[in-house]
Amino acid sequence: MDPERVQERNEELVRLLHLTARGDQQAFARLYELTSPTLFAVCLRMLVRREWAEEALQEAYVKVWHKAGDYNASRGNVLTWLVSIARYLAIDVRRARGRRPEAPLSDEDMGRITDDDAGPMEQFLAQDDAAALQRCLDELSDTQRQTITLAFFQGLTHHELSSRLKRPLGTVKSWIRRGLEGLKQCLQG
Amino acid sequence: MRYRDLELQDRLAAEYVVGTLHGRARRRFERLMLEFPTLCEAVHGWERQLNAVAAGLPERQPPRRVWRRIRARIQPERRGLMDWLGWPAATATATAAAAVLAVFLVVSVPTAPPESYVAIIAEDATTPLWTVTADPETGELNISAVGTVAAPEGKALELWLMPPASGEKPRSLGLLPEQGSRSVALPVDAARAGGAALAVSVEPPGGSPTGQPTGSVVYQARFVTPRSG
Repeated sequence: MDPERVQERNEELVRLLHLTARGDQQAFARLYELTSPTLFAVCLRMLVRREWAEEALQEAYVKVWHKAGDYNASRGNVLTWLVSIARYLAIDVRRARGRRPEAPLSDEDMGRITDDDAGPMEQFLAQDDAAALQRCLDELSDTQRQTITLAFFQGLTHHELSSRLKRPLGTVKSWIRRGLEGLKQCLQG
Repeated sequence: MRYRDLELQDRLAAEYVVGTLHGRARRRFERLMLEFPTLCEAVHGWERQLNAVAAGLPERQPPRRVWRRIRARIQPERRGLMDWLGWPAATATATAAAAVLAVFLVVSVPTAPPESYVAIIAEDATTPLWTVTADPETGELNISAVGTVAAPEGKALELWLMPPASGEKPRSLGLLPEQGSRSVALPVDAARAGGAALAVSVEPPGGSPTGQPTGSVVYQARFVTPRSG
């Protein structure tokens, strides 16, 4: 949880990313080694089926290879940027592949993101950010929190959320909307 | 929709990041991001806030095949056999020796089809022994003796495909013909990116009993295109 180590790790990733942008395959391989376990976890969460998750992961890193020069600090730390790429691709894979197997609800889906037995990458989060996000998620109503994190982690659309939670479409949309507003106010406050 | 409305932009940005914005609306939003920098900023802001959640998931090790596929995708575009034969590495290696051989090639090798690759197994720059022509279309190798080449007394000369990656084993292409030519199919699973070479070893009659070279390597060669050098 040492903020200095978090900083060091990000600096290393930035360095590897700059080398990757210049075509350095060894640097890219190292970047993959350090970050793919996290991105694979994200893809698995969102797509459930391993073949789809592997496909999304492959597409994500091919994109990273070609777009490494696009990264800059406004995208957050390197891992945040990588997660964006992976998540959006997973969303696309999901749309292309159609119906997705239902995953059982997990802690993350319920909005519980920080855990005392945090995985290695959790140290990557500045302690403050993760705690702030969790605190703000906790302040939402159960339904708001659950719909947001379900959408985020399982990539469910409004319609899918509606049928999954057995609630009208309008209700689900309003939970998400209010929930995001609430999160934003809390995170800014 | 009034996209200039910052509050609306922010809400859409959040839904984009979360993933509830989908289908045509999502594609439209992506186009709008190119037009409106404030939309981009809003998206990036939400990414910075929310992606921390995803980054905190327990790691899962991806299978090695994913990396292999990524690596294959980022290599420059190559056709299967051509890339195995070391193109453009072979064509780029226009050393003086290769130049001499290439000149020799033009003089004495029957016209090879334009996209084939040739290796000359030679005693020295002026004494070719066999020409090996690879046809990328058929995946076949043709091995032709230049005149008559006798193996050492009581021995056989075996031809090996030396794989480009270290740690991989040589593959036998059979015994070299003492005269005339023979064809052999390239082992399909030997195809790899990067340069491959040929080697000739001295073996007992009938070839190596072990499936790997047992005797000394007496000749080596690399594939080049007839137009190189």
